[in-house]
Amino acid sequence: MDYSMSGARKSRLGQQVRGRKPAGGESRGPGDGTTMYDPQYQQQYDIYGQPVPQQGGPQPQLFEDTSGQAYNNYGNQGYGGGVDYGYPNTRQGGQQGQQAYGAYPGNMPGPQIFQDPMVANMAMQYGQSLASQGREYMDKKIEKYVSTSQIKYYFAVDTHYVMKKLQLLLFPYTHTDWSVRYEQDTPVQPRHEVNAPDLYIPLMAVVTYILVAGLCLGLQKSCVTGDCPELLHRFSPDVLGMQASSALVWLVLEIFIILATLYVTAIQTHIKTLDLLAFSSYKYVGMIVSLLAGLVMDSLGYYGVLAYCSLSLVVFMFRTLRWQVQGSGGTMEAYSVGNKRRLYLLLFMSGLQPLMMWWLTHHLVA
Amino acid sequence: MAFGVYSLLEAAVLCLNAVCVLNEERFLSKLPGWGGSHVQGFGEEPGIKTQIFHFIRSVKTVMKYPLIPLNICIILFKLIFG
Repeated sequence: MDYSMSGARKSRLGQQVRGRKPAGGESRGPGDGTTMYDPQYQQQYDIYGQPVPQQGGPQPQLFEDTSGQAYNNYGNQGYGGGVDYGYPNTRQGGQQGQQAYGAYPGNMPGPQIFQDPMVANMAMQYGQSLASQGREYMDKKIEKYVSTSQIKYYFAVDTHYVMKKLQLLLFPYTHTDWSVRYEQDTPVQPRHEVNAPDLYIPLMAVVTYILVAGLCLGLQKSCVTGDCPELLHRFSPDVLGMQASSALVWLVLEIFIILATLYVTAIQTHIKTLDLLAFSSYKYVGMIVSLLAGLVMDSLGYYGVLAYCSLSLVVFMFRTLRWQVQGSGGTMEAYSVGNKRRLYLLLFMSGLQPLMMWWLTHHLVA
Repeated sequence: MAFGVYSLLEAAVLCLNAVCVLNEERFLSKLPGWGGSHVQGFGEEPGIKTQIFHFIRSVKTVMKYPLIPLNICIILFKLIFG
């Protein structure tokens, strides 16, 4: 449908159009887009066939008939016109805005003007331009502190990747190819490459861990003070906040320790900080599984599943990081000092994971 | 068991204090290898000791002055809020 002004006018040829009410006795032809005036019934109809409320008495024709142009002011006068009933005999002059007021006497352009496709179109475009301007402004501001384009890379995942990655985290023993494909110096997006790190799983895992920790605490009863008449649940809403902040703190500490180790041993890698964040947070998946097993069967389930998840995670981390830390190709490089350091770093990072897993969950399983 | 972000901040400030308090002339000069940025070749990897010494020296240079107001803030916080 043609939504241009002229097109609107054309399509309304012969239809009843909301327009100015002609003064008494005058009848206008359908081509100029005014309301149809039915002299027999003294009733006018707008474009929806609804009767336009009449105002008392005939009113003088004060304006040119510019109903087609009045559509220009729809977006603007939708608010202004809603306030002012626009009695034509209080408006003088030929200004467009006032003509728009005068064109709709006694008829508040209420919410039904948005059913008019032209108005809806214009309102949508206006809203879209506002939204995109706001978004660009925010992006510019945020880009200075956190590079959003880099973060977007880590969230480019799909369902298949997530399923495969979770399976790898819990059972990495049968996967053979751990290399990451590159395109022009940056890794391929995670949705195309299973071995690439992402931040979606870690984010979801951290949030789920906090909720599962709350669940575990809620299912336990304990007595903090010396003598309580009845045991209190260990859960309260602020415990969730404390768990969240302590999980964050340990994450930050671990990443800092790894970064410091990377600096001190002067290993040349192209592993980025966000990659480290992703790898450090993969342990939360194992922690969640162990906690849930600990709910089902108390200590035995917890420690058993924790041992298995720790082993799986160590294998996963070692094999994945061997490709990331080694630099290009994953083959051992020539001089041996770098190799030994890299090996130690890998072992250190992988061995840190079970320790952290135990440390962050053992207080939740009584 | 960590308690939250403020504890992390406190721990960081305490560790930085510990590094900055190391006295240059009484202690650090006596360490073997302290003066050595000239003994290292270009293509070789620097040893762990030199890296640590670089780290200590840079922390002392950078954080000596900002740590003073940070410490004052934390002390006031502890005094007022316990």
